[in-house]
Amino acid sequence: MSDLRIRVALGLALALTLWPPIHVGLVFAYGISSWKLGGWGMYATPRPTNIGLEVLVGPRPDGPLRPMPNPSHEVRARARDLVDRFLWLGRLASADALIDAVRADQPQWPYVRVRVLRSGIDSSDGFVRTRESSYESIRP
Amino acid sequence: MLEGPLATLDDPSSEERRARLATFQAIVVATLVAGGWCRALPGWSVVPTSFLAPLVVLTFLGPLTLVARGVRRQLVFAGMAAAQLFLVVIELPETGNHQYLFLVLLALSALLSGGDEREGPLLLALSRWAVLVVFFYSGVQKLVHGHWFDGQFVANAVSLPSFRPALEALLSAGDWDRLRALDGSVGSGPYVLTDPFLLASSNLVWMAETALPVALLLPATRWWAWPASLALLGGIELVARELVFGTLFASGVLLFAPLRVQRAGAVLGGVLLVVLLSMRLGLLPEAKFY
Repeated sequence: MSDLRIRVALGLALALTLWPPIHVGLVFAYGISSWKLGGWGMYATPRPTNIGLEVLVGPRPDGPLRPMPNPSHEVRARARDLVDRFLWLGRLASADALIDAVRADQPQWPYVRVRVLRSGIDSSDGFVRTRESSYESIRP
Repeated sequence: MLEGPLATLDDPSSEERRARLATFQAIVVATLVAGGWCRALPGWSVVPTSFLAPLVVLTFLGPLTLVARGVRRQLVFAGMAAAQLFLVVIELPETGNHQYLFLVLLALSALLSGGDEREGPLLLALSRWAVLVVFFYSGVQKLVHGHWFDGQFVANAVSLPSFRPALEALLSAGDWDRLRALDGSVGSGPYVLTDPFLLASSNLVWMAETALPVALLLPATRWWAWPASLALLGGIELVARELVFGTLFASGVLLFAPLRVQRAGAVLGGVLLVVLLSMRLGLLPEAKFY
């Protein structure tokens, strides 16, 4: 029993040691925040704040697309959830709930695109820039 | 018994190790409980039950770690680790990093007995190792993301209420006026520092955070590395005022200090926690901390 507990403790320490490099990779690959999820990167980057979100709908991916008209309360709530999660999880945040809500609210649109715009300081020159991420869904 | 880098992280005598671990565990538990209530008290009416329930469990179990012995003590730590795991999970992905560190330290204390001659050295070594990992990667993250080379992070922090008072005193008038005039809109900038002293300080932070853990690991350099680490931490806390994390991490750094210093530090940490709680309870004038 003691050996098992020792092994678990060593495994925990190993995980603690190996996770931060993986976390760094996720920051670069998916835009997760350095601040959270146990990568110890608090203060490594400016705390993320500014995120905008836009839902575009239309008949096809190549247009014509338009901002979703009169989104329901549910769509707005799911959009806020996505913004909150995107702040920390970047592109690992799922937009499925928002897209489902859009489809339930306005089923006439075959194509839905969710644009997430995040502004932040570019470390190369110190200027504020915007990065865009998109989620798409097309009904067959 | 220990091998590799962990072998350098044990204490020379069993008595010293036991005393050091007991002191460390006491201040960790006190910081966890007091920190939780510091967060819960100001927003009492809006704090969800999902946060309060595990906090109550931690508050009930915390004092038991001081009186329970042997397996029972480890079971108490296991209960605290379970409550802390719940706290970590319900707050995902916004869980503060210090909550993960609390969880790891509680789990280690649940798994290993500090009083056992076989497990005690490992518990002390892994607790110290956890502190080194956090310290080292704090520096590495600053290095790889590059927001400290030209002072970009500090320049941007001018807009943060927590940093503003300290930065107003530290920044040159030119940098302060220029950065305060920036509105953070797309295209604004550059968020960089021009003052050579502050630029050097900005780079010194990540360099120190990557170098000091190595110096703490090596017995030959430990004697100066722990006070240097405390000084760095103190400097950061003067600006950031994250006093709960600061107390936790200072107690971790003090694992590398002589026992009498660690004990004195734990007493100071305890006093600080009482002061912070008193502020939240309205018994002392409120000062801003995080």
